Amino acid sequence: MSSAVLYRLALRALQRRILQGALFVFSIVAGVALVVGVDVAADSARRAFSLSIASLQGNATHEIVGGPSGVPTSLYRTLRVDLGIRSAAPAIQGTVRASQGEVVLTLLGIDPFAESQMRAYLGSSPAGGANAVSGQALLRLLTEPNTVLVTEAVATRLGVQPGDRFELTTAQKRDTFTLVGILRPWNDLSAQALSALVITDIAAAQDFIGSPGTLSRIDLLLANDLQVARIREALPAGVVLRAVASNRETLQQLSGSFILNLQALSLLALVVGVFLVYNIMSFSVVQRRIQLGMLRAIGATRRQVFFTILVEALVFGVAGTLLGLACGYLLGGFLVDAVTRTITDVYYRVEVQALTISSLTIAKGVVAGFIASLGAGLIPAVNATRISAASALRSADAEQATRARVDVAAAVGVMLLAAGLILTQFQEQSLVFGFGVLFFVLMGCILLTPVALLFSMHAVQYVSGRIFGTLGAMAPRAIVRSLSRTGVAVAALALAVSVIVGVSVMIASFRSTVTTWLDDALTADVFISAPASGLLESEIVDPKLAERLAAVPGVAQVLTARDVAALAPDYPELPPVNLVAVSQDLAERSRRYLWLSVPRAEVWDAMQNGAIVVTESFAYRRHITPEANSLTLLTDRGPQSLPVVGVYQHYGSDQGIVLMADSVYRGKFNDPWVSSFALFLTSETDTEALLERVRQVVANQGLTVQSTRELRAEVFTIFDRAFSITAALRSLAAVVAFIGILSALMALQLDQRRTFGTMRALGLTGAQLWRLTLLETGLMGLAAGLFALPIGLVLAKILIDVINVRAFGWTFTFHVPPSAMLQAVIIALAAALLAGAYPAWRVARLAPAEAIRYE
Amino acid sequence: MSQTLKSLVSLREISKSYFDHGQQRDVLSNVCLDVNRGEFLAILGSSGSGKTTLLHLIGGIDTPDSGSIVIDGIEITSLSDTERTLFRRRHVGMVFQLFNLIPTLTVWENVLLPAELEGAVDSTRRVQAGELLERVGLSDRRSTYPDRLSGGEQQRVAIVRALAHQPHVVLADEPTGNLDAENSERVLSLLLELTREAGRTLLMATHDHEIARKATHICRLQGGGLTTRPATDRPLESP
Repeated sequence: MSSAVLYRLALRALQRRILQGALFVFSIVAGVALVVGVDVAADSARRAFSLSIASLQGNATHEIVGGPSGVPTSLYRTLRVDLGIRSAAPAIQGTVRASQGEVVLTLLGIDPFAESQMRAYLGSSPAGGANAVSGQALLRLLTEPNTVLVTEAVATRLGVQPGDRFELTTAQKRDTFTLVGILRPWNDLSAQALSALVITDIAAAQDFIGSPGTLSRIDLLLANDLQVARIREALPAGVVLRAVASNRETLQQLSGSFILNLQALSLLALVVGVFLVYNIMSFSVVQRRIQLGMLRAIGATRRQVFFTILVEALVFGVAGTLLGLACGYLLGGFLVDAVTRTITDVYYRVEVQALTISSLTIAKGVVAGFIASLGAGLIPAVNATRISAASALRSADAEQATRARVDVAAAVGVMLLAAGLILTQFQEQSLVFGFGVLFFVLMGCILLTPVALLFSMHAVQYVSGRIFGTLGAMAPRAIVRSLSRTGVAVAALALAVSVIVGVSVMIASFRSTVTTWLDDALTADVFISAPASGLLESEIVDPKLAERLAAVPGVAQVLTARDVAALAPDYPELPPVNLVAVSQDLAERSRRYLWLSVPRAEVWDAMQNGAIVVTESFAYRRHITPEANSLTLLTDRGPQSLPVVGVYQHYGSDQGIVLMADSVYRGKFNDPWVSSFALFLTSETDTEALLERVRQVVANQGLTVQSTRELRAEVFTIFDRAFSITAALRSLAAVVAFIGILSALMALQLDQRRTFGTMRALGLTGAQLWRLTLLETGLMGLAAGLFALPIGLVLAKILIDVINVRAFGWTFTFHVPPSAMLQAVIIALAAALLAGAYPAWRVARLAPAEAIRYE
Repeated sequence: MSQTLKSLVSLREISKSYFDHGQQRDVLSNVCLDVNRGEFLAILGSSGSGKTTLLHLIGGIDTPDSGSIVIDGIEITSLSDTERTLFRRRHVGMVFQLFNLIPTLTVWENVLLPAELEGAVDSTRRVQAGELLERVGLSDRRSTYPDRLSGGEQQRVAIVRALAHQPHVVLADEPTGNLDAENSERVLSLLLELTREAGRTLLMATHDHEIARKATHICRLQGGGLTTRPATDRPLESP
């Protein structure tokens, strides 16, 4: 028998069941779109970050950087004069704000004479065209004080033109600059790279954002290892030479866990989609069992039948994948704002000018779509080959085969569950391993759903029969009878709702832990700091401000903190250490330590004698334990090993923090600056009035003055923003499940059409039939909701104890809000009832005469 | 069968057509029929002649394009869908060729379903239904689901279901069409015996002339029209 006729038959079957085809395609579209959308958003953010680094570092192959105190200017002279390294360019870099703090920009101070090889936008174009910046503009940049260059885009954002003056602020000061020229990028890529950059002369930058006699770094274009070795020999203590590329990768890691979490969640939505596609394909095979049986009887081989079904799945899969790629790109556009906002809030400042879809993302979407389609079509295709002409006419056979498969699924489920639970005992730190455990446990639970549905419906029929009579007993029995459809639909809905439960409980637990942590940590009354600009950039504030603040009436005590990025030579693969030096320990009494190697009362004394305490995420990433309890930092006196006397809980940064006494810090680093202040007020002081007085004191500086309450609110705003994408993704998973349950109900309705027709003929009114259908639907929704609760709690436990520890190094207390549980059941029930409304409406309008004849 | 004002079932000028791929197909044209209480009318006709359609119209599960149908003094063609459903529930029993038992209900639940829908399952009904099941030899299969029964057993349950709520009219659409000879004979005997004993009016669509011989009246559907004659006359020949 020619396969062509089989494909023609498949095409005609599709024409008759266009809605099923549409649901198949939608399921794949939704899954692929989520995978691609998250990737597009993450890639765009990463690329924007990469471009912004590239714009700052230009063609540099290496850089010389120091710790908090930067690189001595004298080193630049040594390089050029003593070592003869001509391809070196000094740079001073910092965050500045314009337009009343609304626009955040990076100020890059450069030496135009050293720039020709380093940052191409200041020289001629690669194609040999005109200079990017006019010579006159460069001359003014060199000769006139406080002059800057920006791109057209930045000028537009600031509302300025060449010749205009505008104000820039830092935490330290406020000053006026003149725009003397426009940087003209050669292409879109370089336009993106320069989209948040202000260029000025190095002297002006040093005066505005730096320290006298120090540079942020020296960029180098080195040709060979010999040059590298010669420079290393000449470096003073406290500075290092490192490759730009490896440093860029290290910085990209900062947001890696956050992005991987989003990707994993999008994959879960794809898994839900696979369940749905499987359901639709299975139903399609069951519907055509007579036709397939007949085809087998007249000579179609198993192979031909198998490939007919598989090709059908593939055709849908191709359509779904292509649409999914397009929708994913659009979704990426919606997600990118939320992703970049969170990355900016938590890790580093990034602005995405254009969406990026890489070939890898496209390949990922294509592979995901194909695997989902073919994977979901495989079992139905195999089942189709098992249909014989003899069994085709007996619908009960199909369901009996399903019962057998339910047992197999349950057995596999138990094995996966056991395997997942055993794997949780391993100490492996890889996040991918963590998601592997999660997948095993989740799939194990989901595979147990059909058997749970079977038993629960057997139990329910007595109750519903007593309440609603014979019709009440019919509903659960119909669910059991069509287990091949209902089992998978309930499993898909339970999976989606369990994701909602799991993620909700995880977020609630995290929130509750953060609340407790803030109660413990925020013991001061008022906090003054530079606006948050990410982990990588710290702004400087003159410590003399502390005296002025102490003089404000109502202020009892002023504490300072210096927040800097320090280099830890033992961990070159990790980002710089976030070092916080405090003049006094704010949360000394309330801090929750995981372990301490000195008595609690003696921690501050130990710190003043050179010891440090670190946060648990810092310790987790660097394997710091009570036994392996030291950390080497590159100080201005060279590498120094510091004893770690305790590890404490802290949720401010997933990269972790090293806490040091200010007196110790000053002894190790030539850094005169501070970053923030904490004020304790006298008991009778009105906080609001004091805030006003303090704001007047710092009026000429770009500092943020917040009460504890405001700071707390800001923390939770950032917290909620960070989880907004998670919440959106879990809702999308629910939408996919909703579509799944809709398709299952439509299938169920078709399955029971003759029964419904008979019942109408026997005297069941349309309204009664409508109620019966809704009862079936409601039971499925309720079952899915109830099954989702334990699965969701297990998921939450794994997210908290396995995933979060591996992703962020955090542990937090398991907190189950009863409202989340109730909400999950309501969502499942509402999704099912909503999905059931249309099938029920159709059933109520069923023409009994037609339905009776239906076979 | 005579046309009298006392007819239990009375059809006047009934027409019904279907649209098939845009083409109108007249199934019944101006059909008139009267069936008296207690009679057994066999409706003969080839496949597609409109036998099932005629039964569906009388049972109120389909509506004619024109004409009126009166059953026990009630013109069901003027009733709404819900009123027809309630009428059917109370006054009509149905037996189908493919048995059409509800697969998710046990034998006993199937039998009591019409009465239950009516909210009229009392001890008398239960006793009567039990006796009927006893009569068809299935009293020990009350808790069995239909898919565990043979075709003959399923049709016997369907007969009990059609009679248990004591309808005025029993409509049987090829009730033996899906059974072997032995089961056909048994099912038919039971159906005739039970309807006769209960004094019910039976309208049966069939291909089988042997079955038709047992009827009090026979009608033939051909080309959308209906011809009727008493069964005691020479049987109507197949076309």
